[in-house]
Amino acid sequence: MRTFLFLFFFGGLCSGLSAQIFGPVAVPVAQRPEGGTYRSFLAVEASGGLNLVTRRSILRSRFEADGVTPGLGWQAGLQAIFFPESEVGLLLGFEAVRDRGTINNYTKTFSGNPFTSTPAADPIRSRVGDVIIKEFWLRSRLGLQFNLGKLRAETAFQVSSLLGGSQQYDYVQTTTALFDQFTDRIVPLETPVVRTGSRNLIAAAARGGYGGLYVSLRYPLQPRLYVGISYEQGWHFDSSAVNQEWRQRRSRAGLGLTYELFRLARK
Amino acid sequence: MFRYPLLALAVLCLFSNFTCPEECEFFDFGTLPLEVTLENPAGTYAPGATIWINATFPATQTINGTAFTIGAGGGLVVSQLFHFDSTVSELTAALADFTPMEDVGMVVPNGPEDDPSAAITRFTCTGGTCAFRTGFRADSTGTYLLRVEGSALDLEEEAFRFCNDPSFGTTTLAGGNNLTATAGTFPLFYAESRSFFFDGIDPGTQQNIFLIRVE
Repeated sequence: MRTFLFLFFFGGLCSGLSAQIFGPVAVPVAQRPEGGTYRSFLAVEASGGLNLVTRRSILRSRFEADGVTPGLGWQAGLQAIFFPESEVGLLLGFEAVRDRGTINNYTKTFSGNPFTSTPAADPIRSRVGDVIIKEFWLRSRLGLQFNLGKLRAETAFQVSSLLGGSQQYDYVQTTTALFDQFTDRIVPLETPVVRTGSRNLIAAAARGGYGGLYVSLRYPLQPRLYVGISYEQGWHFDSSAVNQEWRQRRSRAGLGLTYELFRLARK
Repeated sequence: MFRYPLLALAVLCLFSNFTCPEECEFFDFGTLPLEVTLENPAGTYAPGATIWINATFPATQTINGTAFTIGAGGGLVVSQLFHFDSTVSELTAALADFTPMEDVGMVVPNGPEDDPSAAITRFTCTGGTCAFRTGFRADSTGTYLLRVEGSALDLEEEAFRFCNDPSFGTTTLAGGNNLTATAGTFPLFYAESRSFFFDGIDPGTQQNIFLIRVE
């Protein structure tokens, strides 16, 4: 539903924006003058490539993890850039991103009553396992593009929203004792209870999104085809006050091709 | 031209996923009802008689719409025995006046550091059913209160939205003498406990505290 709504509004935005800038009639593509006075124009580009999660915080602060093994995912998107008669353009882009990666030894321990007792040296229950991340994100960015000779540099504020996917957590849970909440007693089990389990954390994962910075540098392979690298750094935000412990940080590097589909200019 | 960036920013905000999280509800302890049966209710018990309590319940429970399963480790039920004097409001620990007997499940030995009123029974679950049966042999005469409460669970499938483990928070004792039959002085305090007191029993309501006379 959210995806549908997005496509609906995005389509509406694109058509509305184009119509407001350029009028209701389609305008023929105009090549940008070399060295002359620039005229305002709108370029629409499609992009595709690969991205690598280079940093990702653990899902929850009460968990611990050894770190993240980066995973390679794809990304594809559309971007519109409006150049108002200058070398600096205003860009609005949308991208679907497949996030891959593994959080290693994601561990939750439980030591007893969190309100009344100090944590025991040895946890009475622990859960250890890897979290395999396969997520779909939508990232929207708004920023500026600079022409630096042949190169094009972009910097943007970016918001990423989770569309779906999975965070598969396959764990081994070991219970060595039970904690009596009434008398604050830890009752050891004669033999620890060990079992395996699996959970998809995506439903329980922090919603909200990531806000952050995006930078990219592109080089033209052909007049309309660019190869580029990008980097983003995001911080998780959430509308819920009780959810502050979920604050996460992540960064992602990307490599991709961008193709300019068409260019609209005012006559 | 500034209306376009503003419009675009508005759209960004629209899709920023400002939804309420459904995970970790930190103050959601959750309460599960546990019904414990007093097997041999009597107006008075002779010294040496054993008062038996038991319960059988499914290992899969639901709390606030979320199902979870009690694992093979089972759980704990705390039985507290107090000496009751209707003329004073303070309860005194009285487990020493009884001898815990185990039948189904295990009675956890009480150490010198532990609550002198509390006998902890550990129940286990097999085949989707959990059960325990515990007895208290009366070794002295007097008027006592028996309070039963579930306190800990070994969770097979822990729901992530619980920051704290759920437990049997409301226990009822079926059968036996109701505390309302006495003209007790309320509220009753138990000084050994963490802020535990009860301030009266409504007639006719189920409760987890029962009166035991040993004469």
